[in-house]
Amino acid sequence: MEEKKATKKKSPTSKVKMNVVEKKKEVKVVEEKEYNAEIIETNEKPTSFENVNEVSNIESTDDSDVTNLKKENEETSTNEEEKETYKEMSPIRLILRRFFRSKLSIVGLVIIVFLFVFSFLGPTMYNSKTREQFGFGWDETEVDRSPVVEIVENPYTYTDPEGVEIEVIQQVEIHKSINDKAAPSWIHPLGTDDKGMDVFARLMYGGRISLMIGFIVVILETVLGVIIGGISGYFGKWVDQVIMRIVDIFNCIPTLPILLIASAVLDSWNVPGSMRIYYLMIIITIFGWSGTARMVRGQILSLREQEYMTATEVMGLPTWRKIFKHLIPNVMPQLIVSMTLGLGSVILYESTLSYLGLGVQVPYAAWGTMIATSNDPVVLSYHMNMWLPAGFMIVLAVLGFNFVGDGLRDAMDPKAKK
Amino acid sequence: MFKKKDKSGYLTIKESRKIIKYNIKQMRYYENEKKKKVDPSAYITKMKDPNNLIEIDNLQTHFFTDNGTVKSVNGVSFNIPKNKIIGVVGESGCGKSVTSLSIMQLVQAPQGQVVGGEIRFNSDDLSLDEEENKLAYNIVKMPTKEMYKIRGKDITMIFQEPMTSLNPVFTVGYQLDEVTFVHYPEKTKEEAKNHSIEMLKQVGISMPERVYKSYPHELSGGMRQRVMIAMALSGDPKLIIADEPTTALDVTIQAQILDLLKNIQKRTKCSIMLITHDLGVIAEMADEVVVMYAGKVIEKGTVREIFHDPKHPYTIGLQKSKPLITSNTDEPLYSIPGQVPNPINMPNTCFFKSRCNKCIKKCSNKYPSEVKLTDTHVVSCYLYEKEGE
Amino acid sequence: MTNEKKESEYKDSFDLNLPPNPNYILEVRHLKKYFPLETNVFGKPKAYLHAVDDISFGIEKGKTIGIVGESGCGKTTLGRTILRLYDITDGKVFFEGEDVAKMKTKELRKKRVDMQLIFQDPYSSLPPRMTVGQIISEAVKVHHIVPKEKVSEHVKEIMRKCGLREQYFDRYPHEFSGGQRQRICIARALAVNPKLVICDEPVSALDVSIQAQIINLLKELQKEMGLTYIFISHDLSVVKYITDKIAVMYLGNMMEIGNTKEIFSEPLHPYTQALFSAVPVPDPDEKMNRIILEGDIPSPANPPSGCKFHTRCSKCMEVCKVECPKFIHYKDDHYVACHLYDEYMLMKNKELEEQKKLQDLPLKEESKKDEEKD
Repeated sequence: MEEKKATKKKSPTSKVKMNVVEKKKEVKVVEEKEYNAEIIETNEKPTSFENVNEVSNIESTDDSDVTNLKKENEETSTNEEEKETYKEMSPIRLILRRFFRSKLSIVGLVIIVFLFVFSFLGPTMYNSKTREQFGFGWDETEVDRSPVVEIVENPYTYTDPEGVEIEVIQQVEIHKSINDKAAPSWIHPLGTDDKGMDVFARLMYGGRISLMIGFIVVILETVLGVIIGGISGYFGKWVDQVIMRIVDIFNCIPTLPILLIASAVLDSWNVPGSMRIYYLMIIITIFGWSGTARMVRGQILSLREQEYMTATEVMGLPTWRKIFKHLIPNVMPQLIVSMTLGLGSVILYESTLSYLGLGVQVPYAAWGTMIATSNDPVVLSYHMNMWLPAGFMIVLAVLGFNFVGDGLRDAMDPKAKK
Repeated sequence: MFKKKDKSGYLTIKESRKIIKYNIKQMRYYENEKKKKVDPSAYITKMKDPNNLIEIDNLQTHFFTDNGTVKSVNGVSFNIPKNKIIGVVGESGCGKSVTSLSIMQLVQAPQGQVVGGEIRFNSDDLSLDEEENKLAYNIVKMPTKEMYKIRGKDITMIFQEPMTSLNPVFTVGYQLDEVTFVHYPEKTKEEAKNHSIEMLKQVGISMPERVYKSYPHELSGGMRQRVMIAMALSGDPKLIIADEPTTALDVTIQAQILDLLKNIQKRTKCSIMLITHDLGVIAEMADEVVVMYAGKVIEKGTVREIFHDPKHPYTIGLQKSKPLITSNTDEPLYSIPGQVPNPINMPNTCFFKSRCNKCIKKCSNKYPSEVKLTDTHVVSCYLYEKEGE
Repeated sequence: MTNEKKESEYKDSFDLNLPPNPNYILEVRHLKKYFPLETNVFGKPKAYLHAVDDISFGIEKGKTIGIVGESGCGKTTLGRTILRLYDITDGKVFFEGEDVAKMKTKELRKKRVDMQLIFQDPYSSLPPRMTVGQIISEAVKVHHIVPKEKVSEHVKEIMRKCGLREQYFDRYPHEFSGGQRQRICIARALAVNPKLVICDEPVSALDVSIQAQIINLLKELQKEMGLTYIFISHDLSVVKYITDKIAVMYLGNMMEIGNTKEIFSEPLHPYTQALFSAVPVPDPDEKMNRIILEGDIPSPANPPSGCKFHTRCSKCMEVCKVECPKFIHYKDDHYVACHLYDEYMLMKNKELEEQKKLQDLPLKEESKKDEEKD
């Protein structure tokens, strides 16, 4: 094992190559001796493993072993500098390792991957075309127009004039042109909703909307937050004061009443359903950027005190370079974490708004709108299949993003090295 | 072309996975070992010399990090005699602090583990055995509960950073009393306060009552270090480990603190293990010196032997590389080439070989054993090894 | 002890109205930097921290001046104020005959290329997400020090000079040890071909064996590139080795200035004497007559009156508590701010002491209490 590795590696000088085989044996013998001694001392100790680094040790003993002594000294002094950068984990792998150390973040990652596959790949394998071919699948807004005959049995007791009680079962045949409020079956895995649309298909499309809005809003928020927070943190003084007070104002606005008013306004403007999504994004962004801005400002305030920022000042670098080349890249880890955590809350926000009728509207699917069907007490108590899956998906998505965000935070925090 | 070379400094996935697996195995083993119940006979041994307070014998403390096993202390042996100041010198990462932490059983677990060797502590609690040998505690094997009796009382420590080693939310008096109560639980509040003020007086604080009532942030660095020393003294220790006690202080304050430490040592007849990288401090304070490099003791001897007759090329280089305030040369300073080694990839040869200017052919052999030059002067270098050894 | 020249005050040669002295590449005149401590409701400061209080010195091209003192004495602030990283409260800084204090931001940005700074901490002074090559070449590119196509050649040349291998060009700072990082810092500072380099404790964060390497490197580069250094440090043995001239600072004031050899052979100011004697010598048999200063350094926010050192001075006289000492010419280039070397002040002191004797006892006790508070 050791031999293989050592020979695989390129030794720095060709002279050295000649010596490699001989020397290695020597070293190996010595090692074995020590190894045995260790075992005798403590029997129970777990066996020592061949450290990767030991392999490179063998190599290093070789290359400085060129016979001429004086030359060797010179050579080693230069060789030394190369050796001095010993092997370590690359920073990215270090982050990955810390991330995967926590089981919750793995669970979160699995959830997120599942959600993406489900909502983005799902509809390509579950639509009206696949129904024609394989017998399953519906589109988002497709109504199941297969006529359904539903027989409702109405039992009641009838007392005839002689006083004899007769039990009568009244059978009512309902002919529906739309298969609505259907129970889960092979054709509709999660049944249909009150408009006869397939719940399973709508769940997938709802996921699309939620994830898309989530990503777009978070990116918008971050861009806005970074610019405003960056300006605030970098320039400080009165600029900082003004911006931070604006942030404070945004933090004290009661969000829900404003949203309800906005909803009413949108209604009165007769905004078409498909456009509503964009309004929704803007509204969520407006209420969401302040947190990011505050975080970026805080980070930049502390980074500004770092000596390498003083160095950029001494170097006479222009301001934009200082902000975008030196400050922002160092805020990136925190930004990624806050973005991931933000995704969960945006999805939650979107669902709330859709539920309130402000966001995505029927016939377009969103998890929030799907839950909104539970406003009907009949649906709430008798047709759980219409709203429960959507609720479950929201919980899943938020949990998933939060788990991953927490994992990333632990992984990227330089203080948590130990 | 450069991009490819870039990655050579990093571990591959396979390598790092191997290291991690190994680490988990090792750490689990040593942690389980600690949890086992230990009979007192397991950690009571005999002193080799009853005049020693501490005998460190082939101590090995390893850290199992993601980049490989760091052998911070790799077979260190030296003695701390009673009523002496021992100086431990070395550069950063040479294991001098880890040695002291091992004595205190404060190595950061589970990554850091004492994997071998003995630290024998000559405690007054133990008497002689049948063969007139002085019994001693082996701190390495001692369970944590037993260690509480020694730590802080018989062996105390002064840290480098007086700014962070005091709790900012409590008054100095409260923190001092707390220590007093730990060592003398029978004392009343009033007695503890008197004791604390007495301790503050001992470390040369002119207004002990005022300092007693103040919070750490109200004191200057020098004052805080004095308070730390007072805290260390409150248990009437036999050994004070001073880990770079003056590095964070100014020169004039450093002079005060060193003076104080010396006086305390004379008065209380305790031993001091002074860890520092400053040769000047060592020359002033210590009776005996231990020079460490990359987790090994490379030379030890009395202060005069080390400073007037240094033998190991590293010791010589270290002394030459610092400009003297008393000399007037203008020539380039002597400098040891290369970098301080990272103790992960230590070759099996002399660790100083690649930076050494007196390297001989023999140096390519395994690590040199200790050579006794005089009774007190010991060096690990092939230059002084006699033929046939 | 005093000679005829004692009347000539050091500070007069640095009068603000005089034109810049052509002998000096950098001339600091009556430089003051006060930091506002507390502000009242309207944002106007109530109290100031006198970080740098009336400092004057000049430095010839190719020479090294050392600034020594304990923490909090304002030596770092002085270095940064010269670079105008902090706004100058009062005074002038002439760099090659131009007043830095009056420069506008754009001019300053260009001028800063000629004045560089090397930091104490090689860990926090390098941006973590840039490669060594990017770090060193950034300012070269921005200021067009060399034509575009020659940038990488120039950077590699500098790296070689600083003892860095070409292979390091694409590596990140975290892969290097402290000494190597400090070399990168030096390379970054020297890549823009500066004339003046302010070294702010460049070796105190490094190991002893590495310190010597860096000091030798700095000295070599000075010879090669004709650099002028301002060497800020608390490590007197290093300062002695590398500098031609030394200024001793205490609580924002300059106590003594002179040629290195002279100051070390004959320190005049009681503080300088104490400072020099406090340095431990790595020789167990050399017992220096150590002067151990009593007490702690007073807070620069609330400095003592008169001579700022009088609270800890072993030779403190009555006059020291009242009068702020002036710079007195002692020998060649050696100036000191202490009343012990001023005949006039010594006379005044006698008067004051006699006055004190006449005063009542309770008053004396009061003044003692005051001292304790300090």
